[in-house]
Amino acid sequence: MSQASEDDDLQDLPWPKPCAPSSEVSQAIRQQCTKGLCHKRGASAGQRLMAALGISAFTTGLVCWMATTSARPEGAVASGLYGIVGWGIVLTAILALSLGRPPGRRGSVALRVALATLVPLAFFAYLAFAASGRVPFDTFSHGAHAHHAVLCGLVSLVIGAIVAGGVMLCFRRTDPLTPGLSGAIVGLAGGLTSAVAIGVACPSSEAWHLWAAHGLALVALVLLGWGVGRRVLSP
Amino acid sequence: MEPVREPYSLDPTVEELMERYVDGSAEAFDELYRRVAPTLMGYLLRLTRHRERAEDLLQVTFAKVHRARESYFKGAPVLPWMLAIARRSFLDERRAASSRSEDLSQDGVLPEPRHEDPALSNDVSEALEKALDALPEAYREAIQLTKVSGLSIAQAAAVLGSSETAVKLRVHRGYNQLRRELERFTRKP
Repeated sequence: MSQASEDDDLQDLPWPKPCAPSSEVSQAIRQQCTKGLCHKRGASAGQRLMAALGISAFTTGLVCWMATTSARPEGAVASGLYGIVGWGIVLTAILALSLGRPPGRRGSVALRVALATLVPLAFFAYLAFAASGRVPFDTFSHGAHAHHAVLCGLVSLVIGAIVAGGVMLCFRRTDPLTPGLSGAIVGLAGGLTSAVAIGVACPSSEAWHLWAAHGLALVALVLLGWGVGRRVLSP
Repeated sequence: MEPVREPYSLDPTVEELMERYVDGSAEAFDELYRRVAPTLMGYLLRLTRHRERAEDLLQVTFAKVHRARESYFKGAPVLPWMLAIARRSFLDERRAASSRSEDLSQDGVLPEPRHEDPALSNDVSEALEKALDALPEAYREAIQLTKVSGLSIAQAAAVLGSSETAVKLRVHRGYNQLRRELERFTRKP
C-alpha cells in the first residue's frame, strides 16, 4: 500500500490554517523592512562562484610562482603542476555543484555530504600515490621529519584558511538552508587549494609527511568550515 | 518545464515579489508579507506554542530577511528560504534560553500558559491541535511543513537540512502516531 493511500484518512481533518500575526506586529515589521528601502541587489550565484574560483586560482598561482623561483627540481615542479590541473578540475566541479546555484536548487544534501567526506579520502589516496617513499613511522615522528611536517602543516592551514575565508566572504549570508554543509565545502575548497599549491613548493615527497602535513590540514579545514559556515553563511 | 513568466506580471509569484522588494519596492514587500507571513507565523506558532514568542520570532525573521535581501539569489524558492531563516531564529533563541539558569521547560523556555487559538471551533480541531502538540518535535515539524505550510517533501527536506527519505519517514511515522493520539483524545469523555 502506498503512503498516499495510507494517509487518505487524514486528508479530511481540519488541519490548522495559516495564522495571521497581530496588526501591531505587522505594522512594526513593515516599518522596519520598508524604511529607506532602496535597490540592493548583490552578485549572482554564478558571479560569486567565479570570484571563489579566482581567489583559489590566484593563491595557487602565487604559491607556484614562489616555488618555481626557488631551487626546486624541475621534475618535482612538473608533477606538482599536473596535480594542480587535475585537482583544479575536481575543485571547479565541486564548487559548481555545491555553490554555483541558489540554495534550494543546489545538489542534494546526500551528494554534498558525500563530496565533503569522500574527496578528502580520495585526496589521501592521491597523496599515497604521489609519494616517492615512506620512512618508518617512528623515524617520521621524531626529529627533523616531525618538525618539518608541523611547519608545512601550519603553512598549509594558514593558506587554506585565507582562501576559505575569502570564499566564505563571497557567499556570506547566502545559505539559510544548509550553511554548515556549504561551509564544509568552502573549507574543502580552501584545503584543496592550499594542499595542491604547497605540494609544488614542498621539498618533501615522503608519504607520512604528505598525509600529516598536507592531508590533515585539508580535513581540519573541512571541519573548521562546517563550524564557521553555520555562522557566516546563514543570514 | 516551468512556465516562463514576464517580469513584474499581473499575478506575480512570491519569487517575483521578492525580486521587486530587493529592487526597492515597498508595495512588493507588502504583498510578499501578506502572502508569506501567515505561513511563517503558523510555523513559528507550532514550534513555540506561544503567540507572543512566535510574533517576536516573526519580527526577527523579517529583520534577517531584510538584512540578507541583497544575498537572495534570483530564482531561489522564497518560502523554504524564509522558513529556514525562521527555524534558525527559533533554534538560536531556544539555545540562548536554555543557557540561562532558569527553570526551563522541555522546550528550553519558561513554562508559558498554553495558547488557545480562537480558530479552534470544534472538538476535532481541538483534538488535532492536541495530537499535533503531543508529537515528537521532528515529526511535528515535518508534518507542519508538508501538510500545513504546503511545502513539497524536497523543500521541507531543504528547510530541515535533512534528506527527502528522512522527511518522508518522519511524516509517515508522524501520521501513524497522530492517528493513535487522535484516537486517544477523541475517546476521552
